[in-house]
Amino acid sequence: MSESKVFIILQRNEDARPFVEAFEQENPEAVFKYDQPGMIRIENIGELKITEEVVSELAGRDVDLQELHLVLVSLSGCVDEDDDYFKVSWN
Amino acid sequence: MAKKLNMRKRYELLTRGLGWEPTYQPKEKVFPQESYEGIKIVDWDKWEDPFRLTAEAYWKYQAEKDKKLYAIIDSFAQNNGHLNLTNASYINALKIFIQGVSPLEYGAHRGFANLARQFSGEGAQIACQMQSIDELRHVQTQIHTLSHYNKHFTGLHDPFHMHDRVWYLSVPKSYFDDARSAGPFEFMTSISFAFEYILTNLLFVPFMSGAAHNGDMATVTFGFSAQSDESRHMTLGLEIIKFIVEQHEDNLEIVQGWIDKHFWRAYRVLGLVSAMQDYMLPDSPMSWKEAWDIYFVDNCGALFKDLGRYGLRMPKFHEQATAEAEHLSHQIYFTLYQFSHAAAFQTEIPSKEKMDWLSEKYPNTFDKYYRPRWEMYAEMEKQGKRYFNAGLPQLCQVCQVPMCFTEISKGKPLDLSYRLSEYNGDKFHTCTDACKAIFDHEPEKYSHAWLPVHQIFQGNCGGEEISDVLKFYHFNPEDSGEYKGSADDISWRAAHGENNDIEESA
Repeated sequence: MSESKVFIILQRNEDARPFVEAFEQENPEAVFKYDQPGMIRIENIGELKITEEVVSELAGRDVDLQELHLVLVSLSGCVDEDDDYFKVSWN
Repeated sequence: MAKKLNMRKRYELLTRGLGWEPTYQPKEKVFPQESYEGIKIVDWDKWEDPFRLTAEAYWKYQAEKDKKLYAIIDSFAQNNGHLNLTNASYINALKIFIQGVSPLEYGAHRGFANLARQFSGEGAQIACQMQSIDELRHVQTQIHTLSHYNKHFTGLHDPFHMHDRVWYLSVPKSYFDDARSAGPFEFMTSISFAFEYILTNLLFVPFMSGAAHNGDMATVTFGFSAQSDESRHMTLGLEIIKFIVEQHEDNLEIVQGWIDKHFWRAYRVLGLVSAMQDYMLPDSPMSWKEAWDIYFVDNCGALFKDLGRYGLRMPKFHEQATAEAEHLSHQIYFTLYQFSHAAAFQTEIPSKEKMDWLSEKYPNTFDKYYRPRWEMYAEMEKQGKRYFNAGLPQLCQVCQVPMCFTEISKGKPLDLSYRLSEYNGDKFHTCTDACKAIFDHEPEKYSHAWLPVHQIFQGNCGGEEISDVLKFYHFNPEDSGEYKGSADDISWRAAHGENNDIEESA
């Protein structure tokens, strides 16, 4: 895995909450930055990943991971997604 | 009931097998722009969009984004949200946004619609169609959001007319025209990769977060709503670069040349954003330099490390852009300050708090080079001689920014920087080695640039007097000049019950 940093920026709102919590749970090394108004910046070395199972569990309903589009502000890294996971990484 | 298809399968069905081999006409005539740039595509099926959005999901999520945005715009208008801003001087940044950026969104809409027609690969056609619709959504939501401000503030009434004529707006316009008058692969490299991937974070993330910081809920919402599409565009931009380079070894050098050129072109456009961020947001949560370090130095460092295995390197002249980061916003805002009598926004000397913030954020440069100049202008203003530059600035033939930059990378930040090229017996001036290199590579293109200052002198902009030119731009007299005592300042103070007896200093 690369030593480079990937990031995802999400809006700071209720719709983003299960995603943010899933990133917390599934990427224990990730750093969460709340210093910029209106948004949350999530950084990690190498990759950031979430799974549909965890996001749905945290939201209390079946979540389609593409709902991420509604709260996504920016990201850096190569995207890999499927029905059951979403991942950003540098190779 | 049939089993629901998985994401990969759904994407494949949308983007594969819908094309056909033409028989009435040769393929080169059906897709006439696909080969002349020298890019060789062997297998379009290798094109893969990492966000595998189907048409159904696309419309569903875009509708959802719009519903949220319009609910906020309505509530902002109903609650007179414009009165809750930090200060009406903030609106000046929005004026530059709608005059300078929103028309680019429209240009991108047209550009991607053209690409959807010109590329023969179906995956690329679908991606370009979706992006074309995204860009149209952006320009529409921006106009709808800012129309509320147009009811209360100056300078927002005719941005598209202005965009095609005004001197400082020719900076963004000429960049997009440059990309749109190139071939489809160069356009894509320019807009999807150099602009969207490498640089738009600098516009849409810290500036929009700054809008939230200054009480502008409406703008941060359209900004982040647009940016949610941008994330998709950026991701695609990266995949496209890899796709093109992997298709044929001859493509690498061509693409690297375009990355070099369009990185610099797009970076020069963002000079305006640096001034908006550092000077025009009354409260700035992050400086241009800080944003540059995060979004360019760190982020693009990682990006090009990843792209290294394809043989791509960082864009040429990136060191110069990084060296300029401690000077850029100051040099640009000085220029805007001096010429705002001919602009559809107003400027003012930064407040004491703002100057202290700039000293803190720019410890190596602000107090040494820029604070003394502001103090001199403040002194002049006190004596009733608010400084406006009565001349017309010389523009760079390529980026079209007035020649305000200095020899920073040569360690001479007080020496004005300009370069000279000759072509067909004429002299052409550019602002830096980077813009000169772009000119010298395609002089037959840039020698035709529509430079607003030249056009004024040639009599093509409404007349001889500045007032004629401003009429030609569709400016109203209250749009321009000094902010203190301006129509916006007066109505803002009145709405907040403040005394309007301020010193007439302009």
